Amino acid sequence: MDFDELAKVGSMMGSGGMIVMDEDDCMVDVARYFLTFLTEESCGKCIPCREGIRQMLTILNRICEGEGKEGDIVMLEELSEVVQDASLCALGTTAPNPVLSTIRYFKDEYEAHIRESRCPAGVCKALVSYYINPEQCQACQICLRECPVGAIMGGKNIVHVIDQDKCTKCGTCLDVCPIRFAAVEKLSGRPVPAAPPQGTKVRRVKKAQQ
Amino acid sequence: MRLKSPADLQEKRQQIISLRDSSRHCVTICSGTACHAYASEKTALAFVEEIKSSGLKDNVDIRRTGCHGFCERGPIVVIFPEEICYLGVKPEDVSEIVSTTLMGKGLVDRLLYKDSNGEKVVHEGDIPFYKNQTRIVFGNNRLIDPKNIDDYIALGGYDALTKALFEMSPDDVMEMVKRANLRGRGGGGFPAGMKWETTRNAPGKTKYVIVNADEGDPGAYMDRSLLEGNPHSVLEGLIIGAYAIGSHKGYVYVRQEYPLAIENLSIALNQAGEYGLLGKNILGSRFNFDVTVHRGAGAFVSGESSALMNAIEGKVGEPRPKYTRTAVSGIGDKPSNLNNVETWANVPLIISRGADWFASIGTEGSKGTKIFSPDRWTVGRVHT
Amino acid sequence: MTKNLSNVNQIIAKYQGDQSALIQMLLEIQRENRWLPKPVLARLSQKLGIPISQIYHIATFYKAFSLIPQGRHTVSVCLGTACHVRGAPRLLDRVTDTLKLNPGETSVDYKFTLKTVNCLGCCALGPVMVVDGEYYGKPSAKEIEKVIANCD
Repeated sequence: MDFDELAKVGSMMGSGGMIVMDEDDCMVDVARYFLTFLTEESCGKCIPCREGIRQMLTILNRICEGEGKEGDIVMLEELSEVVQDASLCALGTTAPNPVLSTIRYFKDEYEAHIRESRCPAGVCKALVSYYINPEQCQACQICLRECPVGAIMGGKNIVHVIDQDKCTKCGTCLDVCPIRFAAVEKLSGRPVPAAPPQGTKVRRVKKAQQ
Repeated sequence: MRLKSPADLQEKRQQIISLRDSSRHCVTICSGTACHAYASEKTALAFVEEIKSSGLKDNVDIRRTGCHGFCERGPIVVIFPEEICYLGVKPEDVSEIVSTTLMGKGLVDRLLYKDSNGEKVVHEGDIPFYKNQTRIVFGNNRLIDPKNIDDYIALGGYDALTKALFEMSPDDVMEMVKRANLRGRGGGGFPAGMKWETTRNAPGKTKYVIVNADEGDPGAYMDRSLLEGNPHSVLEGLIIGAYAIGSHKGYVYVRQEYPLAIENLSIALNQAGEYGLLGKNILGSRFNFDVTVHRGAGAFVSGESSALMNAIEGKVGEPRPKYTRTAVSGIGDKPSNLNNVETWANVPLIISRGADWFASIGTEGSKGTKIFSPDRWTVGRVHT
Repeated sequence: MTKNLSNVNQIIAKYQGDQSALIQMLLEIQRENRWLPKPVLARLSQKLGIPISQIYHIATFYKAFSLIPQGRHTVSVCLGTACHVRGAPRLLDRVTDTLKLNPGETSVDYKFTLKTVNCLGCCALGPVMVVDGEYYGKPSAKEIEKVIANCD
C-alpha cells in the first residue's frame, strides 16, 4: 500500500484513515454519507464545490429514497468531472472520489436501487421493510415489548405481525429476535407478504429443529 | 533547569536513567482518548490505590502512556520489564493483577490476548495486531508518559535536534530530508524536502513553519494519537525543520475537538521551554525558535493549507487561489511551510538514523512507514 | 451582562489585543458563556478595531460558535465514517427520542443542547456519544436514558 498504487485503483493514501466494510454496508449510502459531510463542510467560496456537491447529494438522496431514475449515474459522473476540475481546493477536487469509486466498483448496487428499488445491503430505510415470518415466530413477545413505537401486534401463542404503517424501520425487532427463532427478516425489492389472519396461533417448532 | 549545551542534555539523560531501575516493575496504562473513554483513568487510580495498600509503592512504578493503537481492546495495561500485556482491564481486575502478577509472578489468563486458535499471547509485541507492523513513528507511545519530557529524553529524545544544530548546517539537514524522500503524510504526498526548499528560498527574512493537526477526515485519528501520546517527537521535528528553513516562529494548528492533544502539547511546549529546548538560544546554539498553539473552531475546510493560514491570521478559514503557493506567500504573506503531524514526527528519525535508512523502508515511490487509523485493523463489522 | 463584558476585557488583555488571535478569543468567550452574546461581540469589535461584520463572518463560519444560548449540558453524537457504519444513525435516533430534540436544538429550559460531530477520533468505541466531555461507546437505550437523567 503506497501513494501511487492506491491512486492507480482510484483511491488515495489521504491522511491514512482506513475503514473496512462488508456486504451489510450500502455503497450508495456510503457515497451519500460522504457527500452529506462535504456539503456541510464546503466553505461555499467556489461554485463548482458549493453547488456541484449539493446537486450530487440531491441525486444520491433520491436514489436512496427509491426515486432514482435512468441517467442518474451518468449525471453523477458528469457533475463529478466538473467538480474535480474546477474547484478551488482539495475539498472540492476530491469530493467526487467516493461517488466515482463506488460507481466504478459497485455499479450493481446503484442499478439495483434505481431499477429494482432494492437496497442489496438492506440499509436504505425507504427501500427496506421488516417482516416477521409466521412459520418461524414463536410468540416470545420480546420484539413486541421492545418495539419503540408499538408497531407489533400479537400475544402469547399468537403470531406477531408488524404494522407496516407504524413501523419506523429502526431494526430493534431484528436485533432482539432470539437467534434460535430468526423470525424477523429484512426485505428489500419485493412486497411484504400479506399478514396471516389475526389471532393465528404459532406453529411450535421442536427444540431439536431450532 | 535550563540545558545550555549538548553536554547538558547528555548529563540530564544520564541523570534520568540513573534514577530509574529497569528491573523494577512498571505498570503502564494506556491513556489515549479511546482508552480514556473506556475509563482507563479509573483503572490507573485503582492501580495506585492497590499498589499502595499492598505495600508495593516503593517497588513498583506506574506510568500513564500514550495510545498503544489497539483501541478496540482497551484499556490496555503492559507490565514491564516482562512486557506482559493485559487487555480490557477494568478497575475490578486490578487487585487480581497486583496479587497474581506483581506479587505472585503469575498471569491472569482471562485478560491475555487469545489468537484464532485460542492460544494465549503474553507479550504485547507477539500479538498479531502488532507483530506485523514496523512502528518506527508510533512505537514509543507505549513507553512514555506524554506529560513528562524526561521519558522522551531517556529514550534519546532531542539527540536528533542536537545533531542538526551542532553537527549539520541547515543545507545538510535539507539535503538529508530530500534524499530520504519523505512525502507529506497529510494527504497530498508532496515531497517535504522540496516544500522546505521552496520556503527557504522564497524572498524575505521572516518565515513560518506550521504543524497541521486539524485532522478532520472522518475516521482518521493518527495525528490525535501521535500528538496526545508523543508530542515531543513532533516538536523536535518542527524545530529541526525550522532550523533548515530559517524560521524562528512555528504554529501548531490543532482542532478544538482534541482537548487531550491540546493539553499534552501545551505541557510539552512548557517543559521544552523550561529545559531550553525551545525559545532563545536553544541548547546554546544561538538558534531561536518559538511555537504558538492555535485551536481550530470546527471547520473541516480549515485543514486545507491556505485556509489554515487564513485561520491563523484570525480570519475565516477559506482557501486561497492556488496561483500563489503558501510556501512563498503564507501567513501574513510571508513564506510558510506547512506539514502534517506525522510528517514532522518522521524528521528526527531521518536525522538520527540517516536518509539511507529511511529510504530502505517502503516502496520505490513511497519511503518510510504510514500510520493508518485504524492501524488498528478494522472498524465496522467484518464477517469472518 | 456586566460580568460578560469584564470577562471580555480580560480575554482581550490575555491575547494583548492581537487581532490574529480573534478566533482564540471567541473560543474562550464561547466556553465561558456557552454562546456569543451580541454586546460581547460589539465590545470585541470596538476594542480590537475589527468591523463587527467581520466578527459575525467568523462566528457564523465556524461550528464551535453559537449566536444563541446553549444548554448547560452538551450531548454530542459522532457521525464519523466509522461510527456511521457501526450504527451512529440509530444511536442518534435514540438520543433524539430521549432528549426530544433534533441536532442543533437546545431545550426550552436551556438544560441540553444536542449536536452532531464528525469524528472524535475514538472510532474503535463507535458509535460514540459524548456528554459534557465524557465519552460513551456503544451506549444502549437504557444507558442513554440513565446518563441523561443523571445530568442536573
